[in-house]
Amino acid sequence: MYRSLEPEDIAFRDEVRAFLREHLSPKLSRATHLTTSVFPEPEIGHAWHRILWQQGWVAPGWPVEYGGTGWSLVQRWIFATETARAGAPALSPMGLKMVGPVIMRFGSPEQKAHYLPRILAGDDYWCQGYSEPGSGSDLASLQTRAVRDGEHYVINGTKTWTTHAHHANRMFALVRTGSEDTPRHRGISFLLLDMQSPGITIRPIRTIGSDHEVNQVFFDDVRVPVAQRIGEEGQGWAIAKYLLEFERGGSLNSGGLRCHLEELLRLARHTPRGDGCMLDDPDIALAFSQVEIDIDALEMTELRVMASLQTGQNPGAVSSLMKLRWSEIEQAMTHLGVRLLGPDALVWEHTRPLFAADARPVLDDLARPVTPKHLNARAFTIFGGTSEIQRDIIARELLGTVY
Amino acid sequence: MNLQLTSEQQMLRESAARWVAERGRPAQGAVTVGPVGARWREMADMGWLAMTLPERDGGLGQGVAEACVLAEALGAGPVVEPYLPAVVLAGGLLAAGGSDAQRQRWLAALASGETLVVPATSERAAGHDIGLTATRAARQGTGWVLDGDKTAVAAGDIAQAWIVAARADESTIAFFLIERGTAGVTPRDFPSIDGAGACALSLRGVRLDDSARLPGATRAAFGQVNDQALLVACAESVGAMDTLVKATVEYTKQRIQFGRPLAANQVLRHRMADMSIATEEARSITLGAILALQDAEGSGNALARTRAAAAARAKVGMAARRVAEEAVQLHGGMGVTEELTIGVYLRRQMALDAMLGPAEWHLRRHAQLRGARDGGSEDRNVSLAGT
Repeated sequence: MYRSLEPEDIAFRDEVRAFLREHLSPKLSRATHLTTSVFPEPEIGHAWHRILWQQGWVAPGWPVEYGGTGWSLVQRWIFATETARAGAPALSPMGLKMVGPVIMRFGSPEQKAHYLPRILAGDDYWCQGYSEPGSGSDLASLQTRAVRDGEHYVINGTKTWTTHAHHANRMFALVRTGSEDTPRHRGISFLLLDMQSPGITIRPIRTIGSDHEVNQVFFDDVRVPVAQRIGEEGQGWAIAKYLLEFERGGSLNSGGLRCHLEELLRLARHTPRGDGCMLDDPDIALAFSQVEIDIDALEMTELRVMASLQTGQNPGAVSSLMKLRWSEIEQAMTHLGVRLLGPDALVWEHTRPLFAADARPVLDDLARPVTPKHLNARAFTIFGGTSEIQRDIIARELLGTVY
Repeated sequence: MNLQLTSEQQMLRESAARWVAERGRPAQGAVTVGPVGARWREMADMGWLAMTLPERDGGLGQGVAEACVLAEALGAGPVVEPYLPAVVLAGGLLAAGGSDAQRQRWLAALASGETLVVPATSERAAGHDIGLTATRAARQGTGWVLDGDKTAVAAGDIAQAWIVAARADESTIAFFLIERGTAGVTPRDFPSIDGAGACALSLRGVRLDDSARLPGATRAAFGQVNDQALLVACAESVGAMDTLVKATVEYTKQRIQFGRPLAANQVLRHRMADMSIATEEARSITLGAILALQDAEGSGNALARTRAAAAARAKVGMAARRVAEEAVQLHGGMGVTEELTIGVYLRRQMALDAMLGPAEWHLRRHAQLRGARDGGSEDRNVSLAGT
């Protein structure tokens, strides 16, 4: 048992650091710091996507045959941690981490050949058509219907919480196919849509932190070629479950948490309190310690999961644990941030993204994103499976299904 | 990076778990295990008492990782034999700072289970902060005279000797090995909350030769041994939490109320999910701290080591208490009786806090040590409490 990295991993880490020093511009890292939503605007996220793509590093999780890096799990962990701690923008996961792996697993040779290189290069910007106004945690109750008409499906219905639908040119969606009496899990299919199709309208949804990140999308007789279906008709639920597992288990978040913690520590040292700074306040210092030990534990959990994957064990419900704890720790940190602001928490900037706002801000860059981030982070325990659903999953592994 | 147990550690884990399952568990309702007896000798026979002691002193030279593997298994008992105070703390202090004569006289006997030495470092006013020690050691000729009172000396009721922390001058804490029967030393025995025993020590004009002092036992040496003890306690807590989660799961699956098992209720399922999460997090941070201690041995970074140990004990201590209290709650009325062993685990967790300091205190140390590392707005006089 040892924590230290092997010499080749140290060399890899140094290579990643050198790359970040050279390519992660102050403009990109400032914009990332000032990003109040989960994913940055495409002008930031997509710019970083292209830089990584040119380096061949955009898809560490993909198999080499499709353009992955061939890195070991330790190297992937190093890369995720180093980029997050350096303050690099988060990449949109909808193509790389969601529909990409689905196409690899369930797509036809033609679909793979067309879409995978475009996802890799960032030529397409994807959004996810899953939730509906009447179908949140109970996703399988979805109502958006696709009716077969020759070589097309005709889609009617609505999707919601569609992140970056207003930026996306492609959507992957779960739709109801088959007759009314098809059992609900078997009457779902997985379709790829062109967001320019006639009949699609997008309604922006502003969230409580003033961000425009999510949307409602309406479908009025939208025609989608049958060839844009992934897998068989009625196989959509199995595909969706595969994707959800990928979504929950595929992320390494402790690096991002540490980056956020460092930002807050800078803010605390920078914020005066009496003759000293906020970090001299024993209550604040304790709150920092609580967060820090929670991150220590989550980071080690990530490493343990990685180690068990290396030896071929199934991580199981621990991916729910990691999502749950990540979201709770983030929320604890944004709350601590608001405490640090004190009276400055009264200031509100409406303009998004903050990095593009041209007015002279009342607060400095360290303080500006704090309250919007706190409000945006309320969604962390809701999206990607609510905390309650994650606890259901953990309890099912622990207790089985008991009636 | 390699987080897997070695095959030797794996074997230790399995043999310890087997022994605890057969011999370690208290009988239902029995919370008194009495003085160290047959089980302690069996632990010695298994080589566990010698395991972490240096090879030159008759030990096996293993490290904190092995002690934690053993302690996790002991936590499932819970085995309340004095492994932590006698082997980890007293054995560790003697190995790190004892004179040759002291090591020869005590370490092999400790490893074989023949004799028991335990630390007496806590005081009522100082709590667990060794820096606040009020017991005084005054020079007299070539020797010393000790005056003061020690409390919460775990297994002190059955020990042949105690290692007493005393203030030699304003900035120096010295450690003295005092044998039972020494004039001026009055132990007052009492049962401890975990079903074992302890004592308080009254020291009145205790005259000691300088050879009673552990010459190499500085505060820094104590800090290192204490950090190891914190991790051993963490590992023990993880073993207990694991057992409590399993017991609670089993109980709520078979207990029928309102015509269905308790485990069918989402509100209870989620609470058990939280118990399980707390256990996994405790396991993770304990492992992380073990690895950090191993790294610190190489780098000599005492601050990083102490901060990692404080982080682990803060997190694990809070988690263990919560899991134990939730286990009592979810066992309903039976949970508060001595007819189930659930409460025994809760009492053992309380004993660990009383021996090594409550979780919240370790969290505060962790916060103070950040100040020492990073500096706040000005240089502050930060006490490396407990080190």
